[in-house]
Amino acid sequence: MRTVFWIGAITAAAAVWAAFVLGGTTIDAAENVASVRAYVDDTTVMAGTQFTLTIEINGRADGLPTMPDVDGLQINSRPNTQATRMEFSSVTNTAISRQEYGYYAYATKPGKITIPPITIMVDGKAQTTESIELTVLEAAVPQVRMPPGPAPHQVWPPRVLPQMLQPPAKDNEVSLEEAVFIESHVDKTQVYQGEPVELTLGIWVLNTSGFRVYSYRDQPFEPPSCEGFYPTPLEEDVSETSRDGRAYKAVTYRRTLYPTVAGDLQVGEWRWSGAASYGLREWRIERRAPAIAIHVLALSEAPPNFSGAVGQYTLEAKLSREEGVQGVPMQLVVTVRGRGNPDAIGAPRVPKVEKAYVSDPDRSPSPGEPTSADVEKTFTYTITPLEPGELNIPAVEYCYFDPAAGAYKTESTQPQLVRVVQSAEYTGPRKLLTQNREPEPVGAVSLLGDDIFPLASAPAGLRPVRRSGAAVPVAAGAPVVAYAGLALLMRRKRRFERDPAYARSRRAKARAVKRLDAASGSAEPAEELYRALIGYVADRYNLQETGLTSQEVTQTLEGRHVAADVREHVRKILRVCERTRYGGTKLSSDEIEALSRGAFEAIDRLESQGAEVAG
Amino acid sequence: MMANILMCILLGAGAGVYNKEFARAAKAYDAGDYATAIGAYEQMVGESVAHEALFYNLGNAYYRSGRLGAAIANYERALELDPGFENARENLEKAVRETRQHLARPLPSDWEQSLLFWHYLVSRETTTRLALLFWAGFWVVLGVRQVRPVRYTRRGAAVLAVLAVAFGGSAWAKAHAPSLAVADADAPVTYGTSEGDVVRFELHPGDRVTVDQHRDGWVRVRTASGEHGWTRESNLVFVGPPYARMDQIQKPAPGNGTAPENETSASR
Repeated sequence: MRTVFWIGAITAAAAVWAAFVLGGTTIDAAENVASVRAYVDDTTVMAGTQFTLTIEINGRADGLPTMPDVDGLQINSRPNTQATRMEFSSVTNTAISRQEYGYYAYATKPGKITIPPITIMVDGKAQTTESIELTVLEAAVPQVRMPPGPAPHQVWPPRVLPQMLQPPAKDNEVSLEEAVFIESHVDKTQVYQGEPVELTLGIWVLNTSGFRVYSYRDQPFEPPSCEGFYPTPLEEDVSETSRDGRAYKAVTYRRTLYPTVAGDLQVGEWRWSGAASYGLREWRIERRAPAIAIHVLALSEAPPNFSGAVGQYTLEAKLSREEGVQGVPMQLVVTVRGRGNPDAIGAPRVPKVEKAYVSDPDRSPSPGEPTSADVEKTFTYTITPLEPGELNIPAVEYCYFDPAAGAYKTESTQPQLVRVVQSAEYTGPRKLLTQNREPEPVGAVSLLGDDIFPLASAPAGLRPVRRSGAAVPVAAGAPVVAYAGLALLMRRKRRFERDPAYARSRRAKARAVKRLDAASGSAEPAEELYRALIGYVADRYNLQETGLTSQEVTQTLEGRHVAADVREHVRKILRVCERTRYGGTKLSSDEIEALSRGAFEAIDRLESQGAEVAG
Repeated sequence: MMANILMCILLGAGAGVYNKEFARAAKAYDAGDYATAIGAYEQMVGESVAHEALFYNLGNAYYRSGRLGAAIANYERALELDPGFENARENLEKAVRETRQHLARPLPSDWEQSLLFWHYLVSRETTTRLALLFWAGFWVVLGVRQVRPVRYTRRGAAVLAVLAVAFGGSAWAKAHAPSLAVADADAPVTYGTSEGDVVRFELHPGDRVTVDQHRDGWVRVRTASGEHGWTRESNLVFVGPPYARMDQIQKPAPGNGTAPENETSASR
C-alpha cells in the first residue's frame, strides 16, 4: 500500500515538473517572436524643442536602426540612450534580447510631419515599425541661432555631440553672443578713499525654451580682481528681466568695494566660461567684460576727532530712562546710520559725565559679513549715576568724511539733562572700612620728616632671575638618591662583616692579582703562581687553602659547574707549576711570564663564569 | 665645565650691565627726571631682573611722578621679596596714607598671623630654601643612622621632617595664595561681571585687594574689610610674579571720554 502511495506521488511530481518546463518553453517560444516598435512621448511638439524617438526591438538586431531623412525634422543619427535586456532559457538553450534605443530629435518647422516606417533586420528578418504622425507647433519664443560646424571644445560632463545641420535663419532668431553675455559695471568711477563703490557683475541668458547655460563644475565663479580695494562678500541674485524686447534670465553678483589707497585703481577684466545647449547642440562659451578704471581721491588732512568713517551718517542717542535712580545703571544707546564701510565705524566719543560712571560701549551684534554699504551700528554705554540730583549727559559727537561734500562733517546729539533721585536701597557705592592695620598718620614721628626714604644703592650681582621648574624637584630628589646610595653601601659593608664566604669571594680576585704580581719577582715563581691560583679558588669558593691540590681544585670547579675549557685551562697551569716545583727545573723568564699571563687569564675567566659562590 | 665657566662670565658681564643701568636710573632720579628713571628700572624688570632694591627704587620713582598705584605695587613687590625691608615698608605706609581711602592691605585673621607668623615673616624663596634645607637635613640624619646609631637621631629626623613639611606647605601656600593686586585707576567694583551691574564699591589708585577669581577679563576682588565684587582686570596691577612692566600696561580708555576707535580703518 505504502509502495503504491510513493509511486503515485513521484509520478505526480514528475507530471508537474514536465508541465512547468513545457509550459515555460511555450511562453519563451511565444516571446521569441521578433518585433519592433517606434514611439514618441508626445505626438505634439514645439518647433526647436528636443524630444526623444524610441525604437524598441524584441530579438537580435543586425546593427543599429537607420534613421530616415524627414523634411522638417532633425533626428540624431546615433542613439543617445540605449538599454538592453538579455534572458536565457535553460530549456530551449537560447538567449532572448530586448533593446531600446532613444534618439534625440527636434522639428525645424511647424506643421504636420510623418516619421515613416523604419525597417530593422531582427534575427535575420526585416521588421518594420509603424509610421508616427507628429504635430509641430510654432515656437512662441525666440530661437537661438547656433554657430555652424562642430563644437570647438568638449564640454563637461563629456557627451557625444551629434552632427547637426544649421537650422534656417528666422526673424526671431538671436545670435549666441546675444543669447549669453556678461556685464561688469560700477556706480561711480571717481571716489574718495574709503568711499563705497558698488560693483555689479551680471550673467545674462536668453530666457527661451530649450536653451540652457551651464557653469563648469570644476571652474568656480571667479570675480574680477579688485586690488587696492577692500571688498565685501559677493551677494547673488537671480531675476527675470527683459532687454531689447527679449526675455532674459539674469544672475547678478553684487559687492561693495572700499578703496584703501588713493590713486588710479581698476576693477580687473572679468572672464566667465560655461556651456550652452540648445536642441541637440552644446557649445562651450567664453565671455569677457572689460576692466573698469576708478580714480580714487585722497582725503584732506583729518581733524583730531575724525572717527575714520567715510560716507554719509546720522547720529542718534537715546537714554533708556527719563529719570535716573542713584546707583541704578541706565543705558545710553548711540546709533550710527548711513552708507559706508561698517568695519570703519568706531565707537563715538562720549565726553566725561560728572557724578556717574560710564562703561565702555557694547556694540550691537554684527549681522554677519556686510554685503551692502547701508549700515546701522549701535553702541550701548552703561551710565551709573552715583549721586542724586541733576545728571548732565553732554552731546555725543561723531566726525566723518562726507565724499558728496568732499569735506569732514561732525554729527552730534543733543545734550540731555536727567534727574537722578536718591534710592532708598542704594545710597551710593559702599564706603570701605579701613582696618587700621596701617599706622595712623597722626602723631607719627619720622626722623626724615614727611618724605619717603631715599633710593637703595645698587645691589651686588643684579641679574635676571632664571626660574627653572626643575630646580626644586632636583634639589628635593638629590638627598633621597644620596641616602639610597648610602643605604646600599652600608648594606654591602654589613654583609662583608657578617658573611666571611661572601667577603672572601668578593676579595678573591684582588688578593690573587696581588700575589701574582709578586710572584714574578720571587725566588720560586712557579711555587708562588701555584699558591696564588690555588688561593684564588679557595677564596672564591670558601675552601681551606692549605693542602688543596690541583686535582681537588679541578673537582671543585667541576662541582661548581665551571665550563670544561676553563677547568682544563686552570688544571694545565697548575700541572705546569707542580712539575716545575717537584721536577727541580728552572723556568726561563719568558716561561714565567707566559705562565703568569695564563694565571691572570684563568682568574678572569673564572670571574666571568659567574659561578656560584660558596656558602 | 667650560660651559659653566662661560655662563659665569656671561652672567657676571650681564650683572655689570644691570648695575650700570641701575646707577643711571638713580642718577636720573636724583636729577628729578623720574620718567627716565622709571624707564630704566622698568627696562630691567622687563628683562626679568627681580630684586627688592630695584622694585623699591621703582616704587620711589613712581611715587615722585605721582602714580600712587604703581608706587604701592612696587613697594609690595620689594616686601614680597624681602619682608624685612624696612625702608620699603615705611615708604609703602607713607604712600598708602596718601591714597584716598587709606585702605589696609588684605591680611589673614589675627590668630592666623599669630600662629603662622613664620609663614608671613619670610619670603616665598626663603621658605622654599628652608623647606629644602630641612628636607636634606632629614635625609642626612637618616644617613647618619645608617652609618652609626647615634642618640636622638630618630627624634632629630622626625623634627626635621616636620619642619620640611611645614615650610614646604608654606612655600606651596605662598605659590597658590590669592594674588595681591593694586588699583591703578579709579575702578568701580560691581556685583557681577557686567558693566550694567550696580556698583558695589569703588577702588582708587593705590587700594590693595586680593584677587581670587578670573573670568573673561574680569577679576573678583576682596578688600581687607571683606568686601568683594568684580572689576575689570585692566584696572589693577598684580604684585606677584611674573612681574609685568607697569609703564607698558595698556589702560583701557574709560567710558568717560572714550576715544573714537577704529575697528577697521577706512583704509583697510
